[in-house]
Amino acid sequence: MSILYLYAIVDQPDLDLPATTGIDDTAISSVRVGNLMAVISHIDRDSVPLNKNNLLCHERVIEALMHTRAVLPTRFGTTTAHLEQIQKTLEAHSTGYSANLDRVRGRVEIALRVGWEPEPEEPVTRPHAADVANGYDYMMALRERTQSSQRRRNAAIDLAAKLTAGIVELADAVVETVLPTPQLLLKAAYLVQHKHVPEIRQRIGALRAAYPALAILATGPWPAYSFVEEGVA
Amino acid sequence: MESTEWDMTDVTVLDLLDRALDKGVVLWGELVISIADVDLIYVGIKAILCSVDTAERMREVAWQNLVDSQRN
Amino acid sequence: MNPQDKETDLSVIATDEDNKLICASDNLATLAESLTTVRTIAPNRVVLDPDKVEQGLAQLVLTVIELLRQLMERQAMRRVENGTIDDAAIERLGLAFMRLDERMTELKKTFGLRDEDLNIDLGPLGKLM
Repeated sequence: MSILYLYAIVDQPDLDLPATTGIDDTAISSVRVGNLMAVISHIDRDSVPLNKNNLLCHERVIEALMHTRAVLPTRFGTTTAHLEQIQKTLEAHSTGYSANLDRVRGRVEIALRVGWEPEPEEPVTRPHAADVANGYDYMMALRERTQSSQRRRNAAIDLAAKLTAGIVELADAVVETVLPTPQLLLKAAYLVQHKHVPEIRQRIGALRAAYPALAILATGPWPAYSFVEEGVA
Repeated sequence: MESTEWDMTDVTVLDLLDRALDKGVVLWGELVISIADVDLIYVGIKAILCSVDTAERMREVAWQNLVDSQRN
Repeated sequence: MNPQDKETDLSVIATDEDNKLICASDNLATLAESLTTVRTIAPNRVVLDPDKVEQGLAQLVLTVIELLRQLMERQAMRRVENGTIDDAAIERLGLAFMRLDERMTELKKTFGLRDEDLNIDLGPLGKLM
């Protein structure tokens, strides 16, 4: 069974497609609707194996497109059996996709993860009915737990803000989560203009020296995966 | 986990994996996410673990998690 | 980055994946979990196992109740902080929350659900618990 694999939604449909090949060495082609284009290839399978090769291939096609256009990368593994479905989707969401493309044009995503080892503290657990004598004590225990959580969170938020101030100021958009897990102080993605990338690299490098106790991992530049608005789909 | 076990190339691939599986334009309806195999998930883990049996155990866990998650 | 990248405004990315590392400190152990967490792929493919439907439903309902519980607790805490609630009312609220806690514990036990099963990921808001 053959399916269509979708790499990205792009602008400037009149430009030539890059010479890059897609998944399984297939040629890339496109579906055009107005000023938008979906970049696809025909795959001779019914599903796409999730492996390193295919992931990097997906990425390579998207990056090749980015040399000359604004690109909205699709999620890995997006496929359909019917071309008309792609056309319909492009038609239905053309305003949204165009707006999105405007937002990411000339921009890339920089990803940052910061790990830490917070001071060991009492684990903040929910009080249980069995542990207290009366309703009042339960509420007080709940209150202590809430305040304690909040204190920790505030400390983390303050630190994260301090760390990233220099990066945020260069970014057009930011997606940040503080403490998604207890060990991860911050997970963030920044949408930055191409011209700011060298400066951002320097500032992130400086962070490493300034905060030796933190684990810092920054990667990029990536296509703007985190900045395609979900509402459009 | 020691820093010597990290292969820097794999770190960026894992980061990309996180990004490309979780983000990006999602087209619902007729366009489905159609992915086979869980190879990459435990290949990524394999890259940072030193012992083969640990990798095998992680492979089982990965499969079990995938099966369990299908409950949702 | 390649010199030719500077020519076009839009030519932004080196295609060699090795260039994607901007910064990695030596102590990445704490990041290990976030990078290697096994995730659910194909989130829109739903497998309906007839034996598990009841548990799945219970999980859904209890997650919603847990969310509501936390919202109510937060509201109660605000009132306690503001001092807009007397001790007798605190006692009554506390008893109500205690009863809710007991019920939740029972229900989780009945359906074989752990705390982690109700700990949904609210995306940018983090996890429920």
